[in-house]
Amino acid sequence: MMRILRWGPPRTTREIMQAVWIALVPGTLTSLWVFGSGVLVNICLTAVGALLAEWLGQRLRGCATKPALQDGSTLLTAWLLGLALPPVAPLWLPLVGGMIAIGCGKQLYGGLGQNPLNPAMLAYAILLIGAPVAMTTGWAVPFQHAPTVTVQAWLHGMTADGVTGATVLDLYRTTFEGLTAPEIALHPMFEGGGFGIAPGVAWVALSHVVGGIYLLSRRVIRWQAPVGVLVGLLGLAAFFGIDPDNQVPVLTHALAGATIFAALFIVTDPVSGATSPRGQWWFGVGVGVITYLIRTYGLYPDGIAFAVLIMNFCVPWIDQYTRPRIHGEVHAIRGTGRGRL
Amino acid sequence: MTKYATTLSTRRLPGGLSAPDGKGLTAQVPLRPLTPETLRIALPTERYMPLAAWSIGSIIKAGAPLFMTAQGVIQACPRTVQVTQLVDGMTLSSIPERCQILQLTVLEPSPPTQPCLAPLSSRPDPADLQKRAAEAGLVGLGGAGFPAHQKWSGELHTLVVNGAECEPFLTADERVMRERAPAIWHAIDVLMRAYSLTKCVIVLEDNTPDALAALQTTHPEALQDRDVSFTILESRYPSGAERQLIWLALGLEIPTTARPVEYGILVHNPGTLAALADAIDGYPLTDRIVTVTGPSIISPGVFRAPIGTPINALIAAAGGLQPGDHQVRHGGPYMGWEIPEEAPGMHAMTHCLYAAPAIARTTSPCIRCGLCAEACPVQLQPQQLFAALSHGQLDHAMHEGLAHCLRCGACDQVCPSALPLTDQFQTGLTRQRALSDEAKRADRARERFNARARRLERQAAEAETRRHTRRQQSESALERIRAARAKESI
Repeated sequence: MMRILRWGPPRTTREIMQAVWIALVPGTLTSLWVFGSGVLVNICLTAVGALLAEWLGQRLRGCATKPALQDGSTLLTAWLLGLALPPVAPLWLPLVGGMIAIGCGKQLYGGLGQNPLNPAMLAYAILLIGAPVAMTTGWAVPFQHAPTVTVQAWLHGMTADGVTGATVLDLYRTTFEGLTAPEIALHPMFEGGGFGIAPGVAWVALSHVVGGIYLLSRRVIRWQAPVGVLVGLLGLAAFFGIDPDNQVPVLTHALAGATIFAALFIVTDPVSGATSPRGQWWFGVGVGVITYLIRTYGLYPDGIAFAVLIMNFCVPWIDQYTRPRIHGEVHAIRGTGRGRL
Repeated sequence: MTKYATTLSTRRLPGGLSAPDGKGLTAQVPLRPLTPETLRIALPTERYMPLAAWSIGSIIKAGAPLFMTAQGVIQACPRTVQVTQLVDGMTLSSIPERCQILQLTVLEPSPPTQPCLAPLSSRPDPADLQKRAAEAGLVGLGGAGFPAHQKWSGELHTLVVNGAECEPFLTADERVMRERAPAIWHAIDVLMRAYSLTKCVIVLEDNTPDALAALQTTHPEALQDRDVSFTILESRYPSGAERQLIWLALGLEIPTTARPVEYGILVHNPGTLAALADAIDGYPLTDRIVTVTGPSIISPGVFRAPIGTPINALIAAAGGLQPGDHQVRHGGPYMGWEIPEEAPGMHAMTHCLYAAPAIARTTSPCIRCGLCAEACPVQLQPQQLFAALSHGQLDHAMHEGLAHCLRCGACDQVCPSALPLTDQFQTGLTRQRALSDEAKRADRARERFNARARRLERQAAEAETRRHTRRQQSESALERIRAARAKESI
């Protein structure tokens, strides 16, 4: 346990994964408080699916299963996907999601470190396309849950009225059409907030920030990618969002949906993201801009998963053009000397 | 007594490691001279010229020339010895090659006591100095082993003394500076005058105050009016690498494709300078100072040992290894490499032997965490190089800057997946060199073929012209005869 709680940059791959686990704890606890026990059930089921797929994938590829299951990366992917899925989803959804994430997103490409796409986001996107109803109607209304009710909702299918509902960004897309900002603010989702802040999801986002600061201070992640996402997304949102009657307000963009969670835990994935600090900055900006475009003009209320996948495709290109200048690279003689002494 | 200007460098290496230094193990232990019973001297793998009779049983005097390398450097015999045998072995280098080893029995334990070469005047001219460096076997003692006399060419203006021994555990240079400060000053003086250098910068790390004090208290009158200064660097690995040192001390970035001398900067290790002072006095390079250290050595120490001293003899002189499974490395913990089986004795570049418990590192796949890129002192992206090389894309690795790699091993130290990054880069560079040699050979062959084709064409054309002129001549002659006959018949 002391090894897990160590400070300073991680010394093994396992320590990196464990640091991200620790960083996910505050956000997960807040999610449990806001959305109910469904969150935990999701994480457990994605973990089962993911570990199964990892074990099977390693076996089929003729690789050792034990180190792969123990390095912590599979559980991390599952945990991230579990947090991203709707909390009152049918039980098969997280299970299948975990299998897709690891099976298609990671093992098909050759296991840890080889995947060009973020496995959790790949699974999320496939589920969103393949099971749109389950993926969009399973969101718990913040603070409206009782554990038993949630379990009944699973047992009896998706008809738990009053327990499930649309997400904030969903509401903007469907219900708030034609309403003015003061009318929107009367919706129960915004009770206790203001300036477009929905308190339930905002608390979750802020708890993720705590985890993010922990990761930054342990040098597991760099600031460039998360800040890039926020600049790309919120810059556009602020520029076009002066009219709160017709546009989603900036603070809603920031604190609702998966913005903070993805900026800190998804976009910072080293395997599928750009690699140099400058590359990570542009990777983040790209994710932010595409997310804004999908949220505003696209088919889906939150497009961060697609934005991440699109930018994953661009990574080799970004890496090519953002490589830092090498010390001693041809031509230039840099420094005070400027040529010969 | 005036002190030279001492400045702290304000520049900082990108990346690098601030490592626990481990120099305390040997820094204050007195220097011990060591003469083994046998010497094992590796003969060059390239062509060389033997300068002594080394048939079995023959006796070679201390300081007598043994052989001359392809670069014109003459290796002297370190002690008076009797030739025992000539055996096959592997060179003591990071990429071992097959070589022949001259095994010698030491008859007299003392190094040459009389000058073996005629002492030079205290103001030698450049030609004499160059000749002397070659015949005294002077090579860079910092680790690269570059022949010293080959550096002294072109328009030189600055001498940089590289006293920044940045790798942990190493104390050989520090010891040289403390014990041989007057000799170092003498060599600086001679070099500055011979090559009219305008500036000398002595670069040290902030963890060697004793060396700084030794140099400052012994500076000679002769250099009072010269621009000599000290620059102190924050101790950080690898600030002692040549280009990194020049950048930190002078603020000048030397391109990887060029050598510092092309920019007028002469970089010498303090050990090389002390050896140069000896060479001027007529003593060839026979001994060097070696640190034998590491957690597995029972009593770590610093030794003055003759070239060719067997590795085992050095380890034994330092009390031997602790019980258990240990790995002895040539060089320090970062840049060092495992000593091959059947290795010859130490050579002039052996500054350190480092022994540590052998730990089997279990590797895991690269997750591109980027810690290696943060540690890289030349700002490479080792994770990208590694990916390219493990997929066999040597071209791509070269495009990503593989040629700039210092092989300093900083990335290996921080890699959470424990990947052998530097080994991979070394292998890649070796392969690239082989490929480019092959390409050069192919180019030369093509050039030869084209030249031959051109020559044959030219010869054919010449023959054709000759034939043509002859035919014309004979035709014109016939013409004349016919004309004459026609005239006669009229």
